[in-house]
Amino acid sequence: MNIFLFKLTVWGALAYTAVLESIRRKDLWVAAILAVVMIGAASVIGHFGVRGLEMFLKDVTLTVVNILSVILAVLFAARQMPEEISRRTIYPLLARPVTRFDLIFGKFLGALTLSTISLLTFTVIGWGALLYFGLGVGAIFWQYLLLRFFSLAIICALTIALSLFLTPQATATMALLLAIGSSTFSTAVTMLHGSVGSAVRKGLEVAYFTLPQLDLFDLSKKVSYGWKPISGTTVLLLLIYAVVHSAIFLMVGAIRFRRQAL
Amino acid sequence: MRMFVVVLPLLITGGLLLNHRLAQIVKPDLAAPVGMTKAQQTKLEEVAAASLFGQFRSNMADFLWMKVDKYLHSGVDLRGLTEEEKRHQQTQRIGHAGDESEKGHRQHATETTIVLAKENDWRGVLGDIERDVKPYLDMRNHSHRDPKEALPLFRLMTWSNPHFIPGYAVGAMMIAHQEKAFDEAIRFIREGEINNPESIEIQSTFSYLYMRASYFNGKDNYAEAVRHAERGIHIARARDPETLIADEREAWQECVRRRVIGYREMKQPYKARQAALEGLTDFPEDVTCRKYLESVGEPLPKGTSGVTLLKTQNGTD
Repeated sequence: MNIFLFKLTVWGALAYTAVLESIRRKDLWVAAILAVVMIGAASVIGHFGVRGLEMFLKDVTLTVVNILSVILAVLFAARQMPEEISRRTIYPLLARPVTRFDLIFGKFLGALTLSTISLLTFTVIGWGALLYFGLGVGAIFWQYLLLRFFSLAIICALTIALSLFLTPQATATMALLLAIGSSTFSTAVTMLHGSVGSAVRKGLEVAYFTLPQLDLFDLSKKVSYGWKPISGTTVLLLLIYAVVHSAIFLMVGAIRFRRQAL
Repeated sequence: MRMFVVVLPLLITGGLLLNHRLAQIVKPDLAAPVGMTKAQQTKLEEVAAASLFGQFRSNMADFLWMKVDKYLHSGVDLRGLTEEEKRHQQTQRIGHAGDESEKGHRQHATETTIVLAKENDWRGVLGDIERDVKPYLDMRNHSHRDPKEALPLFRLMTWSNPHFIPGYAVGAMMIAHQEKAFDEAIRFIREGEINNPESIEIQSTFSYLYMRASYFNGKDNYAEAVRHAERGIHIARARDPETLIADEREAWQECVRRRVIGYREMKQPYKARQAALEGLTDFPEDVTCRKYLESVGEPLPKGTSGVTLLKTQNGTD
């Protein structure tokens, strides 16, 4: 029990440091600037009036929230480990009773916290703009928010793992490709599946089940088109899916980091 | 952090206040604007900046067109069938609950949903999750949402690209299906005509709207329907048939049919017969023209066009 509490304290402290560091670097100002751009866009739409454009407005708002939150999550996570190494601040950290996995997990929690703050900032602005225009979003909106949080966990874990193999620039590029191209990949696999030979088909199936299907965490279309909330079982299954994928990526990262000469 | 906490709410409040003020002073303008003249269009094409902006406008119109389609299907994404899927009968094909093409909805028998149907899905529980998370419906016998909410998108797409003819044609048909919206539909399609004076589809839509108003609203607009159908046929015949796209050919055939029906309804059997014979020269198997000739006791043998009869009648054989 004491060990568990100690680990929690370590992870919490590392996450807090990551958030603090990001605030000192004014990273969150990126979110603030993008939020102001969102408000400006809402004002422009206000010019034309929104009667009859409710569905379109919700769709655009949630798409913007999705894209901005993913980009910021990748950028936050991609710099966590390489900066500790390049600034050599990793040595005093590892000189304490902190394992390399603790460091990765703490950084993951920090990146996830920052990403969640950004997501909430964008969501509050998007939601506020929609409410201002008199547009309700329904109970499914909260499920949308929860699923976005799950997907950010996978994205942060994936990016941190990639950052231990690749340069920061390559990490950001690869992670963004995987995150934003997830929907296209999923559609391509389901389309190609019936029309290729059995060997390629197996390859496609392996790729589909191995790579994280982040598209499964996107409820924005259902919110926009006014659908009812999804079942609790699906939310639970998606939570398990997110936890398993995040754990796998963090473990891969930890294995790589353990063998890495500093 | 303190700066962030203080400044961000201030910026948000400022933005909302600005928004509120703008909403007060700017009147929403959703009425149909007057279209560009030919000279204005040519001028636009010759200006480099306008040309570049034109690319954006076209993309925007296409984007909105896809949004309309999604909206009408409650957000369910559709895609064309692959060659492999066309060969397999078990692939879920899209079908309508009734004949909804009459209301401007397109047919999509060669399409399926992007999210796989359960019976074709190999992904197990992930497939079930996707069907729950994404907008998904069994589309084999589907109907469409009321297009009322999608109408402003037609307005936006034709503003964005005044040469986007499907936007005008389908938009006008959908407006016409709203209550007491005939005049609005005519205004909309007239704007399309000003921007696209040589469009066969727009003339065909005009003839459809006038004919529909005559049929359902008791207005006697058959003469107008025939006038626009004839204009559509005239435009089509002046074009090289090889350059006509499928939509234009379809619109041409619709014009031919409506011309026959228009004359029939105006009790001008001679002109209706003439229109049917002329129509068969362009579309030898057209059912409407053939049925009309049958109804007046002049059936043509299958595979025969109206040319022979026309020549005989005009003494040019």
